[in-house]
Order: sequence, then C-alpha cells, then structure tokens
Amino acid sequence: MAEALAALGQNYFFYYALILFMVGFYTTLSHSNILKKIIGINIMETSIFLFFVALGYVEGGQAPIMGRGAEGGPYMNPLPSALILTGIVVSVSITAFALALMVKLYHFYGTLDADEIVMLRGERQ
Amino acid sequence: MRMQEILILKIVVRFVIPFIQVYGFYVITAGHLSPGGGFAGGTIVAASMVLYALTFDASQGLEKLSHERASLFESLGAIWYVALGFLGILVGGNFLTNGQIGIPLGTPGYLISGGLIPLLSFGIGIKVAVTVVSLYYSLVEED
Amino acid sequence: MIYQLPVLIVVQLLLGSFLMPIVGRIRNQLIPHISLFLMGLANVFSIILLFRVVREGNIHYHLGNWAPPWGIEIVADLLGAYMAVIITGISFLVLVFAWRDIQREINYALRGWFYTLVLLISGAMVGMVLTNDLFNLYVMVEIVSLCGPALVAIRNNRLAVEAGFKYLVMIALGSGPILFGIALIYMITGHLNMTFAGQEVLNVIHEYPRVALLAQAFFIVGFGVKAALFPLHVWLPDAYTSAPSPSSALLAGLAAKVYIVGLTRVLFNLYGIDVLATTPLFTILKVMAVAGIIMGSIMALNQKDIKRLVAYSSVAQIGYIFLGLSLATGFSVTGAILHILNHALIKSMMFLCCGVIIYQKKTSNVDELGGVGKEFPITMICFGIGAFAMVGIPMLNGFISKWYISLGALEYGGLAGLMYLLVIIISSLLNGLYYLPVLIKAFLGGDSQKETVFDKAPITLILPIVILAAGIIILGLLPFVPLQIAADAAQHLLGQ
Repeated sequence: MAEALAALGQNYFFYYALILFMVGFYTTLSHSNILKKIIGINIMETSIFLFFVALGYVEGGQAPIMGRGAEGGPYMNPLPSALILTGIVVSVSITAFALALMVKLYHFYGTLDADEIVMLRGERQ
Repeated sequence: MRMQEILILKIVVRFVIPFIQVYGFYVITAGHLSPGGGFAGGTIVAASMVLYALTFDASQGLEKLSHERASLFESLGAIWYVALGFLGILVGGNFLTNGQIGIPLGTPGYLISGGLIPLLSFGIGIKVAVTVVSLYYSLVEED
Repeated sequence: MIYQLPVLIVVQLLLGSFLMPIVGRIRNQLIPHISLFLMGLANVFSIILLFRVVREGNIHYHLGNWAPPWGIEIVADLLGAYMAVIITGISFLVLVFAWRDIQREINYALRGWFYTLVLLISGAMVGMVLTNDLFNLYVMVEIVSLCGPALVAIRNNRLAVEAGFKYLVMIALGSGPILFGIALIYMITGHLNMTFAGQEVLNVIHEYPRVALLAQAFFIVGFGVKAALFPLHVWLPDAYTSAPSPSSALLAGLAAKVYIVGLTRVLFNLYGIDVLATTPLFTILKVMAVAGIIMGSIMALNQKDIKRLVAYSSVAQIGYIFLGLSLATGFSVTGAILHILNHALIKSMMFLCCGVIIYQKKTSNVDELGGVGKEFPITMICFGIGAFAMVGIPMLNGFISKWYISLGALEYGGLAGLMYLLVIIISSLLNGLYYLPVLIKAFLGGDSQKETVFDKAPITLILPIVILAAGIIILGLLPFVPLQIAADAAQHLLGQ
C-alpha cells in the first residue's frame, strides 16, 4: 500500500494527464453542442501534451543549450518538447478546420446543436 | 462603444505592432540557438497582424494580405523548405542533408551557425505566420 | 538514384500539392495536367522501387544522413513498396476520373484545392507506409486524417459539411489515443524508431507489462476509429455517401487501408508476434472483425442509396482484413495483405461506377435506377464484376484473398477456425443478397423515369473504371506476383 502510494506520489502527473484525457474524451462524446465538442478535443490533446512534456523533465535539469551560454550539468530531455511542438501544430490545424466547418454548419442549418442538425438533416433528405 | 472608435487603443497598437514583429523575427532567426524557431516566431508575427485586424477592421487587414497572396506565401514557404531539402540530394547525400552542402556551419552558439537550420526556420516562419493570419480572416469573414 | 526513391515519391507529391495554388494563379487549366503528371511519375517511381525491393531487399533511408536511432529512418520494405504502388496507381486513376467529374460536383473556386488535397493525401499515405519512425508516422497519419474530412466537405453542401464535421471529430478522437500510445512507448523504451523501440520493448515488457498493454489498447482504438473498425465506423456511411465520387473512391479504397497498414506495422514491429500472442489483443480484434463482417453486410441490406450500400459493404470488407491479420497465421496474413490490394481495386472502381451513374442520372436511389444497365452497359458490367469479386466468385480477385483468409481460418484450427470460415461464407451470401437486387434492377428492370444527361459518358470517366475492372479480372486469373509479395511480407511480419 505504502509502495503504491509512493508510486502514485512520484508519478502524479501521469494520473493527472489520464484524468484530463478522459474529461476531454467524455466532453466530446457527451455534449451535443459543436463548440463544446471542439473544446473537448482540445482538452484531450492538451492532456497528451502535458504527459509527453512531463516525460522529458529531469529534476534540477538545465535547458539543453550547447556551446555559448551552456550551463552544464544534467539537461532536460529536449526531444518531447520538440515533438509536442509538432503535436500542437496538428492540434491547431484540427481546431481551425473544425471551427471553419462549424461556421459553415451554422450557415447551413442555423444551429450549433449536433442533435438538431441530425434531425434537420433527416427531414430534408 | 465599438472597438474601432477607441483612439488610445489605435495609437498604442500602432506603436506596439513593430515591436511584436521584431520580436517574432528574432525568435525565428534565433531558432537554432534558443527555444523557439519557425513555428513559435511565425505565430508571434501572425499575432501582430491579427492584433491589427482586431483594432482596426478585418477588411482593412485583408487589404494588406489578401487570400490569394496568403496562399501564394504559404506555398512559397513550403516549397522553400523542400527546395533546401533537395540541395542535399544534389551534392550526393540524402534529403535534408546539412553540413555537406556548402552552407558554413559556423561556431555553435553564434547567429551564423547550424548551416541549413536557420534557412529552414525562415521558410517555416513565413508559412506559419501567413497561415495563422489567413485562418483568422477566413473565420472572421461573414459569408 | 534508386536509393533516393522512397523519399522522392513522398516529397514530389507534397511539393506538387504546394505548387498547385501557384499554378492556379498562373493558369487554372494547367492544374489537372500537372497533378496527373506528378502522380503518374510517382506511380512509375513506386513500381521501380517495388522491383528494386523485390530483387535486392529493403532500402533503409536516413533523412539528413542522421543514422537511427537519432535520425528519422524511412524503410522501403515489401509491404511499404507494395502499398506505395497501390496508392499512387489508384490515385492516378481517380485523378483521371476527376478530370470531368469534379466539374459537376465541386464549385469552380474549390476545384484547384481538390487537386491540392489529393496530392497531399497520397503523398502522406505513401509517407505513412514507408516510414519507420513512430512520430513521423503520427504526423503522416494526421495529414491523411485532416485531408479526409476536407475531401468530403469540399462538396460544400449541407450534407457534405455535416458528414465532414462528424468525420473530423471522430478522427480527432482517434489521433489523441495514437499520440498517447506513442508517448507511452517512448516512456518505456526511450526510442521512436520502430526497430529500436521493438528491441527495447522485448527487454522491458516484463518490467512494464501494463504500460505496454495500455499503449496497445490506445493504438487499436486510435487506428480503429480511423480505419472504421466495426463499432467505431459510425462516421463512414455519411462521409462516403456525401463526398464527391472521386473522394469516396480515394477514401474508401486507400485511406482506410493505409491506417490498417500503419496499425499492423506498429503492432508487429513494436511487440512482435510472440508478445502479441500473450495479450488479449487478437481476441478483441477477432470479435470486432467478425461483428463488422456480419453487421456491415446486414446494414447494407436495406440501403436505398447506391453509394451508401457500397459504403456499408466497406465496413464488412475492412472486417475481413482485420480478421486475416488477427488470425495471425501465414495464410491469413497473406490473405489480408492481398485483400488490401483487391479491396482497394474493387471499392474504388465501384465508387467510380456510382460516380458515373450519378453523373448521368443525377440520382443515387436504387429504385430509380431501373434499366441503367441497358443504357450504360460498360459501367454496369464493371459494377457487376466488382460485385461478383466482392462476393468471391472464382476467377475474380476477391476470391483469391477470401480463399487465403479461409485457409488461414482452417490453419488456425479447432472449432473457432470453422466458425470463422462459416462467418466468411455467410457474409459472402449476404454480399450477394445486397448486390444482386441492384444488378437485377439495372439489367432487367423497367426503363428509368429519369432523363439521361449525356448520351455517352466521356472517355475519361469510363477509362479508369475499365482499367480497374481489367485489373480485377487479371489479378483473379494470375495472382502470382502480388501473392508472392504478400506471402513474403506476411512472413516478414510474422518473423518466420
């Protein structure tokens, strides 16, 4: 029990990321408002970014700068941060694309409620 | 009161925009020396242009950077990247080869170093800045 | 030069997609020509690559001369080169078809963007099947994922935009788990290169069995959503129905398959068959695949829209591929890899046939299509060939892959193997049940009430369909070359 608690304390950010991931996933699936769905996707992706960046953290580490201005000593792992920058780009593209489609949907259906849109779609088909 | 009518805001924004842009270009050009680079710097430059469109008017902003010109710059940024990548193949190495292609590598830690990398982040910076701005305009437009 | 091919194929397609907006500014009419040229070139390159890989073995390409595990590695192995040929070939035929078709389906202002998207998605698909780097794989997956909804929503009407949005949300929900899985793998191995990570997983699997299992689950959910594995397929019918026909052909024929290849690579390269056999993964996949095979066919039974019918049958066919992979015997994996090719040919051809019918009749309702077989014999005969190949009539290519998957089921053995065989047979009967009414109505039904738009369909619409139908028959009679490649690739995957 004590071991499990110690492991929990040491790796608390894993659990935090997982909880955040589930919050995002649940928000996307449960809310019928399209904007909330997009927010849910963003929360989900942010949780993964948090998790990935936290992997690269080294206790007491310096920023990994080589050559002039280098401080020496243990360095942070720069790879997760670099990868997550790409992940953020992807997340921004998904969000922007979803927002653009949302504007179009509002233009076509006059509502942002996914359930109503499905009903409207069925009527006119 | 509409945002467009606030005089203080207009003057302050006019004053601030050049500084934001200079900082953005600094982040782009120092991408191989410090955290930052093409994407971060490009977003900062784009933020300045979005700020302009927010305080003045989206249509005025659009005059400065129309959709056609934006898509042209986006393409050019990406093509610039690919073309630099092909330089590596031309000298007999692999795609995106750095070092052998004749661009001086310089001393690590100084502005002129890293060979290909500052040039690549320049292309990325332009593409990202233009893309973010045109995303903003396409969402703001009412049609 | 041949050594540079793996990266050249990807880069020239991506470069082409960036060039298109500039070409559009200079001369709009040039866009189809240039994109056709680039895609054809990519196809030639992929065929040369496949020859070279078959003759002399894999090509390991290190981007920027950085050797793995530090640099990004591109590996052109049998499976990758084989997929590259399929992707570029079918994209080329779809582009030929799109030449005339999109003039009716897409607004003038958006036509140039269609070519941009097609070049981008095919470049990313080739990149996805060739890369050996987990994060590079993720980036390519995301490009394909973002192009998919765009290709659906480009039709710009209320149905297409709604379907595109649903597709986008589902696919974004899929990309989260994939990235999480990659993060977990990176956490326990410290590598992103699949070869190195795979070796490291074997060392640490006893230390972190649950993390490895969790990563596996994330990969299945993520790729499963994108590939429309059965309970996660809800976006598929709407998306394929409302997309322009060339987009449907691309998405159904290629995009769904590419995710399956991605999943196969990740699972088999990272964990290896021995570790996979100890986890419940294959059981879960088998259940989902069997459910997909049966439910997809049943749902296709009462569809009135011809495109929706073909779309639902995709769910069943993807079930076949997953069943073949999850049985994990030599024959079944061979069958699954072969079925990727066969289904890509059949499904894109059927969607293109639907495109011709909709182009001519302006309706997609099966009831209104009586007698179209007499009006457009070539199109409907090709549709019939596709339908029979899907059912699995001997002499057509669908038969070969189904035969191999069935052999795999027998090789799997026991009562379960017989049950899988039964599922395949039942599903083939169901396939016949929903395709035959369409064909009977088309050839024997009364004359259609709808006016025909043109007397003859343009040659660029017919030619791709005829080529694909010829491919179906030729591969049905002489399947030796792809069969040999698929068998070798399967052996490599199973590590025998």
